[in-house]
Amino acid sequence: MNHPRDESLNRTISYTLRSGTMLAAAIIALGMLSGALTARTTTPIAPIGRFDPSITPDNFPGNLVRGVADLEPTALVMLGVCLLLATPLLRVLACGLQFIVQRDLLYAIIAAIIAITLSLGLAGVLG
Amino acid sequence: MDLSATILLLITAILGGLLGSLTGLGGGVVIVPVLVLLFKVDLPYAVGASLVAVVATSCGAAAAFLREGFTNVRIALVLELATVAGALVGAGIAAFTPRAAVAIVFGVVAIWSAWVAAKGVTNPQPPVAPTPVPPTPDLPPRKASLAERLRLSSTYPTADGPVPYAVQRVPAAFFTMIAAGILSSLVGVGAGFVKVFAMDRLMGLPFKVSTTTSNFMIGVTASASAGVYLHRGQLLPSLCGPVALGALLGSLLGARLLPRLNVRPLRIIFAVVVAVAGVQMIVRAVADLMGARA
Repeated sequence: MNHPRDESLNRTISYTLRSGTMLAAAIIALGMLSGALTARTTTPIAPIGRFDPSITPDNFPGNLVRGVADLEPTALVMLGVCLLLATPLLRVLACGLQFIVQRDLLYAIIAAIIAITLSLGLAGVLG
Repeated sequence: MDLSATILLLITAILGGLLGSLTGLGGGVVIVPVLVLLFKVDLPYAVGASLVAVVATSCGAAAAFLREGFTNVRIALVLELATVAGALVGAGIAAFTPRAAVAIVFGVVAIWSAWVAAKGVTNPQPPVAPTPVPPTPDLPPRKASLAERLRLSSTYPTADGPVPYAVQRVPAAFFTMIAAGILSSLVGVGAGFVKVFAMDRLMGLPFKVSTTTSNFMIGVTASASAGVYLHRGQLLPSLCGPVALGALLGSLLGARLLPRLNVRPLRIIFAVVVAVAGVQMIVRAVADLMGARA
């Protein structure tokens, strides 16, 4: 079963995982470093108190995009975290594409179901 | 969190990631109690940050493991259907579960993982199994056919060339994986030991295939629940940043050091630390409960 197809599949997935994780780590590091160097945190980092489930993050994706555009350290860290969380999804999509190329319908469908469920979780629709 | 706390958090996460990868216990089982007991972080935030770190370490390590050829991507995909569903259910349950209950479940999971890791020392697995496991002929044909229909059997590399292995009891492993997903999501750990149990004991996979495939799946499982927690505001950048970065650096360092170190004594010591942390979490939760009653 370890024929060339499986090896090219492994290479594709390995590449996706590595690049996603490293890019995410680099953005998180950049955010933390810029926070440390400039101490320019326009949104004050909330002191870590008790978690209150009734307070949802206000305007979550919108604020993040604005913060990243302003190169706000906290927003950069959060962008890195979001990219990190998206990396497994990218990996599942890479698997799915590879299975489509291999005309392996069963596994393409399995990958698609995981990708859809995972996307719903990441988008905050489920759970 | 100020700068010194961030640096302290980063160093702690590097150590956690390093020890977690060297001992096979994983990062989450250390990060949660460290955040709660030492940094006085509220449990839901600790669970969120830990899951982000678990995603980071899993993805980092999986990239390296894949090239070794042990990871079985088909088995991972089939079982991920179960773990992702479990993770979303777990995140749903977490919303209604009091902190003390989560802390107690965490404590049990920590002690259990520590026990499994420590027990592994008395019966060490050879790095590469020299003799192939014969395909079990006495298996009921119907059960074998699900694994066959899903084409789950594969080979793993040895010095003498690829060795084939068969896969059994797929449905039992699938249901165990739903439980693994729920646990992972609820208490913020990879729950690698449950996944390895399902693959090693139930499916009868070679040990190295179980551990690498389990690690491969952990990233997807943890990202599903972390995604839910992100929208609940449980992922704080001031925590998740240093914890994820540190754990990733630590686990990559651990992967480099692993072939050169004798990790058995380390594993025992670390298992004891994790077990003590688990007991601490339970004691604190019970004390909180009594305090609330009084």
